[in-house]
Amino acid sequence: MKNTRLKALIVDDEPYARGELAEMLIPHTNVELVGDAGNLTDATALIEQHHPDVVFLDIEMNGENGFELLDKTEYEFKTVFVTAYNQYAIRAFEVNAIDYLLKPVMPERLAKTVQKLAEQIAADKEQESTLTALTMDDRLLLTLNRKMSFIKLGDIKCILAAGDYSEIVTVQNDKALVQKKMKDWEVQLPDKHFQRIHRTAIVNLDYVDKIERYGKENAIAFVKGMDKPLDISKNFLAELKSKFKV
Amino acid sequence: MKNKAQLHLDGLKYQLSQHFIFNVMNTLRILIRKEPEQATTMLNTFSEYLRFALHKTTEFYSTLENELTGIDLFIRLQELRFKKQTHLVKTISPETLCKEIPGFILQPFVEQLLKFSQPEKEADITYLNFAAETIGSMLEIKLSCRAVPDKNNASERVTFLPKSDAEQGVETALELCRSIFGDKFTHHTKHEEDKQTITLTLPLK
Repeated sequence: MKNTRLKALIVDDEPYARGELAEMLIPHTNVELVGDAGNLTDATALIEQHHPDVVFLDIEMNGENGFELLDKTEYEFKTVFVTAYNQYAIRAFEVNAIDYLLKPVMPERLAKTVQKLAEQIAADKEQESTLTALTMDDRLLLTLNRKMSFIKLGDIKCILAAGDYSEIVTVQNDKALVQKKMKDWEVQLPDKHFQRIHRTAIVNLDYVDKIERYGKENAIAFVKGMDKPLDISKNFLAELKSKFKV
Repeated sequence: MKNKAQLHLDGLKYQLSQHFIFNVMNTLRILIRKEPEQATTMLNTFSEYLRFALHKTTEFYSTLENELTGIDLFIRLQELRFKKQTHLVKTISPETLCKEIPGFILQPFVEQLLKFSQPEKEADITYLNFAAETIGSMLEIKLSCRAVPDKNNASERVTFLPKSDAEQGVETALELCRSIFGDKFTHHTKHEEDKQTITLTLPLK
């Protein structure tokens, strides 16, 4: 397996805990610590700046909850929750955390986590490199209503995130769950037609009826035949605007 | 057989300890290696805190003075954990200090308030104001500090999260007070621009 150096960020409101974990990561030469943050605002800024592969994240912080970080940034990273108590373990794995470490973190346990991370990130990168670009005429074999059907890429209205899976919504409003991550779709889909608008959604622009602004930085996209509009995040709104030179 | 209120009180004490104790232990472990003197201070404070908490387990009521001792110790431990200064500013007459309240009911509110507390702009110190006053047959307790807005009820809050220890503690404390004092107990949280105030009113014993 190819050696991959992992960029890591530590988020914890306790300075001692941040320092300790940073020290414990030093012997792991395949991990590069790009920063540490004591609150979610600083963490978000560091994520946008360094694009870490992994965030070691405390859960109960002063006035904030670590889970909120996952909604604050569009950038995708692996999450390892590091907390003093295991009441959040179930929720952590629901949001696809790669691991859940209990304080005090033991070196042997951390070593297992780092190994798991390295393996998974290497596997992700390997998979990414095998992805081929799709055209609007390409057909995908999907299970729709318990039947296998070929669907033309152009007949997909949107793709919604579902953890490590994604849900495809077709023009006929049929839905199919596939084991593919949103960032893999981004690599493969023709960007002239498909646009990521949120961490949780990619839309086929041919089926977007309208986009409405609300508040200073937010917007929603109305997709033909969809009951509810889809959220557009600040960063992707800017991308959309530059794409259409608005 | 324990009555309902005693069970609530037991629950409150149990809830208080979990997350907080594990976090203190973790900081202690780090300090022992890096800053042994600070570790000794923290261990002494933690012992005092545990002695205070465990000693009181059999007693239902406690004087305000006693409760403030526990709160002081709690704040000192948080200061050591976060390397932040917090001053407890008490406004309370000697007569009110000896009034009795159910033990441990104040600490969850202090913990919750500290979570959102902010230091004063000029100095890097957080001031937590504690005022208690006897009004006729009632005791009014006000806790306040400079605080960021509490997002607990805001729509942006991540859903399906288990309650934090502080939130659970506050809930149990409220339940306990309601079960003892009924309608005579009131609880009010006021959010101003950068200040949060919690007011509790309960009948004197």
